Amino acid sequence: MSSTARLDRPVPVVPAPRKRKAAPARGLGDRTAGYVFLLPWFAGLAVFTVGPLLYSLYLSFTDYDLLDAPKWTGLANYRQMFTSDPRFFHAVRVTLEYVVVVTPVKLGLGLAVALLLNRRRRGIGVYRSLFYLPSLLGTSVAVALVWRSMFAQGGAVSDGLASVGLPKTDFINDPTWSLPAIILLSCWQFGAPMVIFLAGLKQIPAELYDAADVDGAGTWQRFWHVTVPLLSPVIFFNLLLETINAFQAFTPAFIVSGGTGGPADSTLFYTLYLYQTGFNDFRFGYASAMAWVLLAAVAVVTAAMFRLSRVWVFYGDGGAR
Amino acid sequence: MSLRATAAPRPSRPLRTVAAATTLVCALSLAACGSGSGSSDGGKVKLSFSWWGDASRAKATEAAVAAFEKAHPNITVSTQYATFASYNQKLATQIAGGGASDLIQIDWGNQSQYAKSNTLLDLASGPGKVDLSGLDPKFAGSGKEGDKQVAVPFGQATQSFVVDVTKLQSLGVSVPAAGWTWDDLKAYAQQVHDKSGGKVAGIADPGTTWAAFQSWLLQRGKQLYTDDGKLAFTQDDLAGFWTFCDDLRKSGAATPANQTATLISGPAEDPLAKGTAAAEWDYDSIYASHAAATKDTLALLPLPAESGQTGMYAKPSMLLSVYARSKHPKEAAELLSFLVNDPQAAAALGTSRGLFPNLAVRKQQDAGATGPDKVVSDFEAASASLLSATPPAPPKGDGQLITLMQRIYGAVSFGQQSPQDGAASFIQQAQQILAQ
Repeated sequence: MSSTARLDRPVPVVPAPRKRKAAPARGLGDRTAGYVFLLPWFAGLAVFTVGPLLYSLYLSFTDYDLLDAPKWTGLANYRQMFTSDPRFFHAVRVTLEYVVVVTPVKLGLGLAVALLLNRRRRGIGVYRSLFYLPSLLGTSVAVALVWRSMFAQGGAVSDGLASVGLPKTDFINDPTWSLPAIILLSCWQFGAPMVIFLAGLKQIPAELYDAADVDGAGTWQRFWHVTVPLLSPVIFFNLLLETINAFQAFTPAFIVSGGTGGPADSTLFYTLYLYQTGFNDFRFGYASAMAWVLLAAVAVVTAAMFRLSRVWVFYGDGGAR
Repeated sequence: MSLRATAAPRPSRPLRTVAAATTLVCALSLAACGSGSGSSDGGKVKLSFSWWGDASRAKATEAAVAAFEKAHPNITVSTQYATFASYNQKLATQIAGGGASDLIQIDWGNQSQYAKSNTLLDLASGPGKVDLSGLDPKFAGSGKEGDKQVAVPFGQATQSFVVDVTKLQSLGVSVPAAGWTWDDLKAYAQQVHDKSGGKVAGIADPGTTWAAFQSWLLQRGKQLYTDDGKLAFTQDDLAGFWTFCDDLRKSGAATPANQTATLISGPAEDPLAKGTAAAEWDYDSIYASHAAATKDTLALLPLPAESGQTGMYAKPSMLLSVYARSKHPKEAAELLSFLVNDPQAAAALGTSRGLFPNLAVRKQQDAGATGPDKVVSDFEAASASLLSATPPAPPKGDGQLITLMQRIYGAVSFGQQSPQDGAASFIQQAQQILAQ
């Protein structure tokens, strides 16, 4: 996925080859040695990444149930997906809902907490670690299981809310609440973008704030006119990363719904439907086609975000707009 | 940067290094591939055996395997198990990769699919020959695919209602008797709901249960599938069943949708174990697990009948097969034979998979049964006369229809669809699945 992130804007690389020209023979030796050392990695890449990737592209044009050899069916899988699979569109809708809510909320929380933690105060390191902790645990199965038992009927959250007079709700097994419960689980893991925001905030020169103070800017103006523009490359980076992550969310939905995407398909994420198609229905051709459609969709979204970033991302070197 | 110091002056050196490194990498990856499942050293044979089930079944199975290892000191058996859904995923993947266990437990619904792709060894002749003389030939025949014996039933199960007797007594509701009808069930379930003040439902909603619908059809002289593997029932049949369930749920006699959704998590976490339902549809082979999940006294009841028919039948709860690519077909078949014929196996397994396949041993076992095993064997004895003929093995796609049923009735029970609309979309999607 990360390779798509470089589609539009090549990362400026410091040009080095001119120096190499001085000693061509030695350079060649270096390069060979370098490649030799990379060889195990290349072998791994070929066997475990590129090979399966190409194979899945091939499978996406076949009918394959794992037991019999794949049968070539051309574009039939793709055609079925877009013409006669209501669950496909349903899964797309659920995933979009998730992405559109989780990404901004997570980034907002990450930024807000980063601003709070970007101060000199005793024990600030402890706070930072604590806020980062959920991100480390977040993708784990254990947390999703805990979430499930907390929010299900008779769980801590449901009973807690009932004790203050709210109606007893089974957040996990009620189609109205199951997706919000999973969204909440994801938003709670804002630690990773928070840490990146913190690093970005530290880069903003203090003189700019001092200058803003001299000009009589208030807190809000300082934030809006100094912090946001100077942080915009970091915001963009986080936005990109979190959007792509959100599209690929799988574990929370899989664990919380017990792999069904239920109740009543309310948490049928795209990746979960893909998994079900492959591993429950044994339609690996169709599942592969779904994977490639997801890849294409994420690539398009990423490209669009890069295009839009020209309008709002401010690179300090002045050459960005 | 220190690379420069070690860089080779002669052009041939890097090439040689490349060659050496390539060899090393290839050797490593080959080594990784070499560790297959069955292997033997010094006359010792290592077998692998995988099945699905829960912890209580695992305990019983481990004990049976230990008895086998004791009787066959030159064979060691490594076992692995998972829940039904993840087991099937794993098995299919292992078979695709050529690395399934020597002895595998398979579901009846998958049998024809695996047999057609030559995954299962013939157990009637050749190295994997298994002695089946002690089994009811008709029952053993459920493991046949054409003239090949590809599997052996590893337990006989029958459909039932598991009832929480303790709960009913405390509510003052009498336990229904065999020979009850669906109207009786309705009245009973409503009574439970009313007397418990709405806290306990009479039954867990059976609307998501494919096999419950099968019995409903059999009672009406219909089938799930035609002989060539197409749907043999109509939209109205399914809508009729769902409307019945829907009414039960709406009146509180059956569990609400969110509790019904927990049925798939297994006996330890379902409404019966949590005390929110007083009865639940299930196979009697699961009874031991239900009993282990609660302190209450449970009992087994035959299904409610429709014009005298219960629609219950003797079903292979699961079957055992020897993987066609096993390196030790003879030993794997020996283990299989032990598990379906030997009294020691019967003693260890109890009724964790239903009734024991070997009839003579089953009789002995019934005589000395205690606890949950006795409940199951008494139930089987009492309902033997109620059984319908066993239908043929389900076609490929059966597993998908099981989940389709859960999904669509799920939507019906959450009020998103009417039973009629649900049945219509079920028929349409089921036909698509079976045509694949």
